[in-house]
This record gives sequence, C-alpha cells and structure tokens, in this order.
Amino acid sequence: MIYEKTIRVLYVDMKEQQVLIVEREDLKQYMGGVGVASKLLEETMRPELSPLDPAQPIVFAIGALSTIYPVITKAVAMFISPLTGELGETYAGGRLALSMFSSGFDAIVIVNKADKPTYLAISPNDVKFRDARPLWGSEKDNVGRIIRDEERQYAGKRSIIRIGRGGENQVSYACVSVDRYRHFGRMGLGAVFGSKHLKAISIVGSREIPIRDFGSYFKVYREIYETCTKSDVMAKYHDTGTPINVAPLNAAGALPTRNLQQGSFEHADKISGETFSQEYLVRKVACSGCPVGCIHIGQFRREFAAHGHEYETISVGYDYELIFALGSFLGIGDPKDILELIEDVELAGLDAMSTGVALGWATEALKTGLVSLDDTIVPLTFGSSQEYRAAVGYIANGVNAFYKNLGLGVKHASKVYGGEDFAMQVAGNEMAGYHTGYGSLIGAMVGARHSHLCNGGYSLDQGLPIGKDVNPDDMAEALLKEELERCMLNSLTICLFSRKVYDRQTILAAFAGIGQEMTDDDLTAVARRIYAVKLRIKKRMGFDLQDIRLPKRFFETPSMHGQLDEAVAHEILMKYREKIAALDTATAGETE
Amino acid sequence: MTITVETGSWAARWLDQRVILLTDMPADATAADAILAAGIPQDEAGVIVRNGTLIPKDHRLSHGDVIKIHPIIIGG
Amino acid sequence: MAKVLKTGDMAKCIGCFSCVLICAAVNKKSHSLQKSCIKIRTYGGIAGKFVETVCHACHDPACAEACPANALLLRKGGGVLVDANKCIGCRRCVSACIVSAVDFDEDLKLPIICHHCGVCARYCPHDCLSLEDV
Repeated sequence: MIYEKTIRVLYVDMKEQQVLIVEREDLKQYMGGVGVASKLLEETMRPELSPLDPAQPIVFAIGALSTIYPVITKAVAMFISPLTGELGETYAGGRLALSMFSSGFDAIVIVNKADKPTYLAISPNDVKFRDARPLWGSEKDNVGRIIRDEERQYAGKRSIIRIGRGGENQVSYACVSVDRYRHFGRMGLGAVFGSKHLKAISIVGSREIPIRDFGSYFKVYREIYETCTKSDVMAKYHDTGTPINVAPLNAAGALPTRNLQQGSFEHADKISGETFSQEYLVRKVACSGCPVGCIHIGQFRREFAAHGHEYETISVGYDYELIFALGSFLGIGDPKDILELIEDVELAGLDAMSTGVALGWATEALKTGLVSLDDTIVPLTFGSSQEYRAAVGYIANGVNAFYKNLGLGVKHASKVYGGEDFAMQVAGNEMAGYHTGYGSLIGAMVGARHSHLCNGGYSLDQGLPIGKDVNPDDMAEALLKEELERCMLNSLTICLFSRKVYDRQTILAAFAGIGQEMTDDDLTAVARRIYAVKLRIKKRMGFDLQDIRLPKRFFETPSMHGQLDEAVAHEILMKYREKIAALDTATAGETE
Repeated sequence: MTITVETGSWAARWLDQRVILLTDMPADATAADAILAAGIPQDEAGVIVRNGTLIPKDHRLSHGDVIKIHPIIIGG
Repeated sequence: MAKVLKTGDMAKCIGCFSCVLICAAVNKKSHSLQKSCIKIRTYGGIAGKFVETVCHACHDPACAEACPANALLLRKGGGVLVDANKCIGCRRCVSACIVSAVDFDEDLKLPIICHHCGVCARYCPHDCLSLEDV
C-alpha cells in the first residue's frame, strides 16, 4: 500500500475456498504492478505443468501510484499463457485498479480449481466463493447484470471482471472482460480462468487511506491533471482515439490487410477513425481516475430476422486494433460489419486481435486447399462478414476439430494443417496491427510477452527516417531501453497512453507527493530488477529467442520501411540476445 | 515557392482549414518547414506523403508540391 | 453572492471519477472514494448512463429538519454546513435525504454532505458540473 512498507497480497485457493492475506516487505523493491506480479508469478508458477493445469497461478496487481494521480488506471494480470506456453502478461483499465486500491489489496494470487463454476466476490471484510453454475454458458452481459443485482449496494465503486464461452471452453486466446468496455485481452487469461472454474470476480473496497501531506500531494496532482487535460499529448486519445491510426498506417503501407497479403487497404477511408467518429460514435467513456476518456463507443442497429421494421440498437467499444484485426485484416470495409463482429467477439469472450488474425489465416488456408469447407463449415472469404460472425462462435464453442485447433492459436493450427508461412504470429502470439518495420517485428519477438506494447517497436519505426538503412545494434539497443523503461512504468501501472506525461521527472515528483523520496537511479534499478525476473521466468519455461520462427510473409509484403530482410532481422535479434545475456539476471540487485 | 499542405480532422485543434496554401516558402524548404509554416506542432505530424510516396521530414520540397500530412501513429 | 453546485450537463460525463477523487482529496484529505460528497454511478453497468448523486442545495432541507442536535446549519444559497462539534452521529440526516446525497463517514462518525465548494466542477474535464451564483 502507498505510505506503507509492505505489499499486501491476497492469496486465494479456489479448491479449498480459503484465503490468506500476507503483508510482504520484501516485495517493495519491485514497487508494484508488473514488478510485484512478476515476482509473485516466479514464486508460484509450475514450469513442469501445462499452462492450464489448475495448480498454475493467476496474479493480479496494481501499481505503486495506482489511481491517486490521473491516468494511473491499469491493473496487470500475469499467468502462464496457454497461447505461447510461457510468460503471460496483460493489462486492463476500467474500474478494476480503483476497486483493488480501495480493497487494500496490492496483489491477488489465485490457484487451483473450484469443484464447480464459481465467482469470487471480494468486498469489505469478506471474500465469498459464490455459485456461478447458472452463469456458466451465459453471455457476459447477463453475468454483469446478475452480479450487479446480487451486490447492488456497491454501485459506483465495484469492478466486475468475467469470462465468456471462449474462456469456459479454454480457447487459448480467450479474454477476460473488465467492466464491459475494457479487457485483459491478450494471451489467454480467459482460458486460465476457465481452467479454474472461475467465471468472474467482483471487487469492491472501503479502505480509508488518508493523505499524509495534502499540500505536496495536491500540487503534483494539479500539475499532472493540467498536462493531461490541457496539452496536446493526451487530446488525440479522446478526440478520434486510436482509430486515427488507420489513415496514416494505410498511407505508409503498414496497415495489415487480408492476412498481410497487402500493407494497404482500398477501403481504408471507409473504416478510418474519421468515418467512425462521424457516422458511428455515440459516446466516450473513461477508466476510473482518467480525465482523458479514450474509450470510444460506436452504435449500430440491427433488424431482427424475418420481421419488418423491428430493430435492436447495439453499442460496442472500438479501437484501432479491433478495426485492424476484424476489419482490414479480413478485408472488411464496412464499419457496421466491423462493429457487429466486435460485438460477436465480445460476447464470445475472445481476444479480438488473435481472433481476427486466426480467421485471416483460416481464410487463406481454405482458399489454398489446406483445409476444406468441411473444416470451416462456412466459406470464409475476405470481405464477407457473415461467415466470420459464424466462425467466431465456432471458435468459442470448439464445434469441430478444425475450430478446436484454430482456438489453440494460429501457430498451432498452421502446424497441424500447413500454411505456417502465412500464419501471422510471433512466438505464438498473433500479430498486432503495425507492419511498420524492424522495430515492430523484432520488438514483438524480443518483447517479454510478444506484444507491440512491450517496447513500442512501431513507434521506433515511426521515428526512423524513411529510406535509410537501420543500424541493427542501435535498433536492438533502443528496443531494450524501451522494454526496460516500460517495466518501470508498468510497475506504477500508468496507462501507457500517458507515457509522455509521466516522464521520469514527473514520476519522481509524484512519489515525492506521497512522501516517497526516489532518485532517477532508483527507477533504473527497479526496471532492471523487474526485467531480470521476467527473463528468469521465460528461461524456466524453456524460452530462447533463437528458437522463434517467423512466417515468411513478414518479409514478403513491404512494410512502411520497404521490404524487410530476414538477415537484418536476424542480426537485430542476435544483438538483442547478446545484450540481455550480458544483464545480470541472477540477482539484478535484489535483496532477500 | 508555393506548397500545398493537406491535413484531416485530426488537425482541427490547430487549423481552421484542412488545406493550407503556403505561398511564401523559401526555395530550400523541407517537409518539416512546411509543417511548421502550416501551424501543426512538429510532434503531432507523422506520415508525410507526396504523390503517393512517403517522404521523410527533412525531404526538400519543390515549387508546387502538394503534401499530405497524417498524424503520428498513436497507442501504448 | 452565494454559489451552489449545478449538475446540468451530465450527458457529457465520461465517468472518469475525477470529481469524486478530488472531492475526497480536497475536502477530506483522503484517497478513498467513499469520503467524497459527490458520487458517480451508472444505471445498468458501465454501458449505462452516468448519473451523479450530490446535494441539491435545498432551501428547506430535510436533513437539517431531521437533525435533533442542530448540527446542520442552513447555508446561504441552499444546503447545509455540518457543525462537527454538535453532531451526535445519529444518521437521521442520511435517511432524511430522498436523493441519498448524505453519506456517513464511518471513521469520523460524521455526515458527508457537499458544501458547494465547487472543486469537483473545477476538476471536471468535460464541464458537466458548474458552480453557479444563486
């Protein structure tokens, strides 16, 4: 907890229905967030068992500055990923961080499997293991409503996170939805929930946390609030939001289209951020504690089948990554079709990015005869959304062998059926929507969780001059530097959109505002300490960078920086590997 | 020399019009100079396209060039 | 001139909770949501509409009427001010308010009632709240 010397951990055993609170001083050296979660994962993980073994842990943590300053709104979840078979890490906003903060738990560790479907209800002075049998198999909207009605007195303070059918059926890229519009999207946390019979968690707290020195605190709060609300650095996230990326990425030839057969999409204008804003945007929402409000809600209406003039109105959150994965990547150029697909993926409880990328591969596998219509059931075709809508349900429910395999990730599916050269994944994680160059590609390989968010490689690509050769050592160094910095930032659990607000000076001021004197060197040391833990976890899971095989298509379809060269990519990778081998991962300045 | 700068709704925070005609640019002006002259913060301008081709910010422009400025790619 | 808090533009609310957090911080020197005089919640989860619960600045307030200890003093412009020395912690004000704008501070054993300082309005990024002359 802030102001205190310890990190407060709630351990939950689903099988025994027992909890244990432990106050740990030794975890303070990891600050919070990803630091604490990594350490707890390292302590509780079972490398010898499969990722979905009930004994594997799920770890949640909030950060060292969670929700007391603007835009520090994230919670992190760590686990062994069923998708990649190694370190799993994912972040979500919504109200979860605020609710955890109020509950007084900095971290939650969940192990073992309940005898029957269960939801956890964490409230002031209680943790209940509640019957979730009626919710198992139910669509997530119902789950939220039922839990809200059950625990009505907590309106406005509580967070509810839950899985859908995808998670229940242990699809490797099932997500966990957080407060309707946010997600622990990537790497299959939903499947890990499913493997524990854990349908949902509701959390609310009432812990009183007095401000120690109001003057110091408020001065820093005010400055950060002003930067967040008045400067250009955050305005764009509220304005059009991340869908603004569609146009520049398309212009740059970096918008993955039709399973990355192309880097630009002829219908990009129709699915641009501008179009979504003008035609579909009805509302913007914020995570609790964020004055920016980047969550964009689009709305469309759907006619009930076989009836005239009978409509339902559907609201869904949209972002760039979803427009890429369920739009351009599948050749879909109608925003309404994209919103409808987002809704289906949401209800199925799947990660939108992995789902889109998996379907992109499946479409091409069908076209090239690697699989047949008997496998895909519907004729998956780029640009035709109705078949994809059906397929989303087939994945979530694992209706046949093909969809079961597809539900284990595109790397697995392509190993079974062929087509690995166009199965667009990196180390088992389906690609993100940036074919910008070596930064993005190698960034996903070396990133601890193989996400574009590990090191923002696309951003490095953007900073490189067009038409100049990349220096492999510089690129490897830049990726490592950013990976380390984000270990530190994610131990605070800031929203990474605000990383330009939270420069080092601001972070030190924020700590000083709560009476914690830190130095720049301290932040650097924490970053290294955390990264060392992550590298150790990966090593224990048998991960080695040089084992990654990339699909050829990354090197065939030109990127923003032209066609990428496998030899150059390999050189950057090996440079990175040398650099991390030189880090002191055994201790990294940790104390007992 | 004369340069035409095209933008989009994203630039409405700084510009009243989407198309800006710069009539008084020095002969050695680069794309970055045009961005500055148009009134867009340098950090907010990302992908620059001239005649369907990406150009770097330090690219020297020619009289009559039409450049399309896209915003920087954003995200986490 | 007296001022009171108006909440006329809640349609613009993004549910950021800045008002709640800043009220608790400034008025109660606390990081805890439940100390705030203004509350934000949704009807039907976060997909629903955001609604606020805060003092309506009644001129003839039921909370003060219900107080047996004269601890709630009528405030110029509407609403009340809490006299902590007089309050006996009976919570009659809490149940008297039909808009549920009075909460109870379990740590201090005092009611939590908005005194229309307007700090929430100053930290509302979308001008949903305003402090207006009456």
